[in-house]
Amino acid sequence: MRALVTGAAGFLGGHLVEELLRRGWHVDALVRPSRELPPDWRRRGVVAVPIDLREPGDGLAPVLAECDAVFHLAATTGGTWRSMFDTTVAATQRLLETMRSTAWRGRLVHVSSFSVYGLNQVRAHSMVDESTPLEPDPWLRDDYAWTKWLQERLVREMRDEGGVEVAIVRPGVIYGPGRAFQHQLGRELGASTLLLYGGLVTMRLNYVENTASLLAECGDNSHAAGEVFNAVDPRPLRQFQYARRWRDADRANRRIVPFPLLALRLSGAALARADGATAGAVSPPSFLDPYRLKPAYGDFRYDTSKATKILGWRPPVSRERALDLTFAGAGP
Amino acid sequence: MNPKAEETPLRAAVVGLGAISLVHIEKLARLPGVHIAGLCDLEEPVVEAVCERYSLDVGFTDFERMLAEARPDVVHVLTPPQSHRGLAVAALKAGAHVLVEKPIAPTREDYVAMREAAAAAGLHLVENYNWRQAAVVRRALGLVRSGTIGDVVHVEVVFGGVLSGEGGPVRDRDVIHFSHGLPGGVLQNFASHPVSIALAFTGPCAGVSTMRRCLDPAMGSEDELRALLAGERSSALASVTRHTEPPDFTLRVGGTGGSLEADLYNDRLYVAKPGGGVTKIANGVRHGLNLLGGAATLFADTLTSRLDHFEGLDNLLQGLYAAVSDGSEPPVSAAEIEAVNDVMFKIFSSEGQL
Repeated sequence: MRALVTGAAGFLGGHLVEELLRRGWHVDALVRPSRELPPDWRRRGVVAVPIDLREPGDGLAPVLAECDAVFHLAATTGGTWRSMFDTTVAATQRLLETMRSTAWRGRLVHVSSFSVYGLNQVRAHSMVDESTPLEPDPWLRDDYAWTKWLQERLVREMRDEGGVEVAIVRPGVIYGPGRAFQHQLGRELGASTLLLYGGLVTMRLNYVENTASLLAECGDNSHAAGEVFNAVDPRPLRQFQYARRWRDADRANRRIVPFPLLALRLSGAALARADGATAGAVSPPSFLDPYRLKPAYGDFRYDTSKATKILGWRPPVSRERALDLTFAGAGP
Repeated sequence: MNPKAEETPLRAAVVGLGAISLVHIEKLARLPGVHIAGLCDLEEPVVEAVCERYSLDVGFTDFERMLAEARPDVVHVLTPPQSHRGLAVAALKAGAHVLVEKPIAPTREDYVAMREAAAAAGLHLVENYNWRQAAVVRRALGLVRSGTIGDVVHVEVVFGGVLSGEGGPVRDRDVIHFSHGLPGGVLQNFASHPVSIALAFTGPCAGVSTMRRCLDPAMGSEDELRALLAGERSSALASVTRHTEPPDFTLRVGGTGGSLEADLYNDRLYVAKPGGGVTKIANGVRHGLNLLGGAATLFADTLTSRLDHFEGLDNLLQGLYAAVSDGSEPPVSAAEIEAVNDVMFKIFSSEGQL
């Protein structure tokens, strides 16, 4: 079985390639031409495919023809809205068009995001699962949420057309070695202080190897076709528990300064009200915008049982082990 | 805006749905008497996404078709500068006024062709100098014109910091950003900001000496510019810098009767009066109070999103659409665009290089 992994040079992509190799897949790693792959991948049979999906070209079709599954991870979190659109949406469009034009028949495992859910429309403390309604106005959130929402819609259209078997995975907050800080904690002030927004919010954490394992399972398991799975680890931590583990392991002696979430919410709500009253002359900055605050720092419960029920899959790395591995190297 | 505008709104069209386009669209949507009649880009998915975002059903991927069907009064040309000439000339020939993003054109030849097309059609061709139109710059210009600091002797404008973010499109090594293809590279994409502001205080400058250099080879383009401009009686130093920290955007105008300093990113202005003794102390006290007040208002403005780096575009759009509607002069005159681009093309040619 041969898999094409887009975004293979990224944080999750690297872990997914390792997981696929472990499961016996042959891997084609699609990366931008300027990116370099780990030197030992070539020795282990990984074939580098230097294609930039943002650029038109006919190099993708012959690669696709050899593959049984595509794991589509390519996306970006930074840059202007247009560069995010080109990388996340236009590139996906190009990939799907190539699948259509070559009548490719295989499994497409798509990495979406929790940001596609309409969490402003969900009551606090309620359960979020795969049936939670999607965001009605993604452009009111941020450019990442907007572009990931557009990207997933393209993939769902592909799924509904039939022909290609599509599985969609919506990861929560992916963490792991080298990626300890999470925006769901709050803000970093310099290298030594963490401004913790609230402290009691349940984090939708997902250890990177668990995400990679679920993605690979979606490639292997025939029951994944047509399904959507959230990727959030069971037994979720609250912000203060995660921050404390980080601080205790961190050689930088990071200080944790709690900041009341209520103060953010109230000032955001007051400024949003002023926005209406002043016809936009005064409006909340993005970090106080109530429409962005609730999805990021709202307290929800997460039902993560669907992948177990349908695929018989369980996250291979326990919460404690994941925290140990993440913070073993300490630092950010 | 005249009362008639409410009845027959002016029709605006945008070509080039790049990073800056949403700023134009959102400002147009709030402008009274203006109707967005067309949005055009070569990439259909982006046209659909932007139309959906703003609940507009006016998307096009064919520019000529947009001109014919949307019949715009004003076309905003927001594509990479290499395509400005073709699009602007086509829009002018179709009877639309043109607002074009800076830099107006990569070469003098392209600019002259656009200027002549506008003159032949009797329509406005306006380059977006949004920082030149910012309220703080207009306040400074008002003070100078009222004689507050006497005759202008020297002007310094330093534009810093925002040429490219890490991970941003200008630093992309795979899809090369359009600015690297300009004769003056990334600097040419930004230099009209300090140049247009400097010339507002000095008037046209025939003499230009330039230093351009690259301090960060990974940038792929020169990233530091100093241009010394010589006017009839005054001079200016216009700078673009990517490496000085913290990033700032400052204007200093020295006159025979005083001087002024403006902080453009933070919308602050300070005037020093001439004199010794008590005046010197008073200047110091006023400067100190101004800085303290600036810190307080910066905090408040950050919390309330009142700092808008594109606020000058509001002024420019109001003035341009009023000019189209009632025949008044646009906020950026053809003479000003001529003066700015005369300096710009000298800066980015081999003339006067140090």
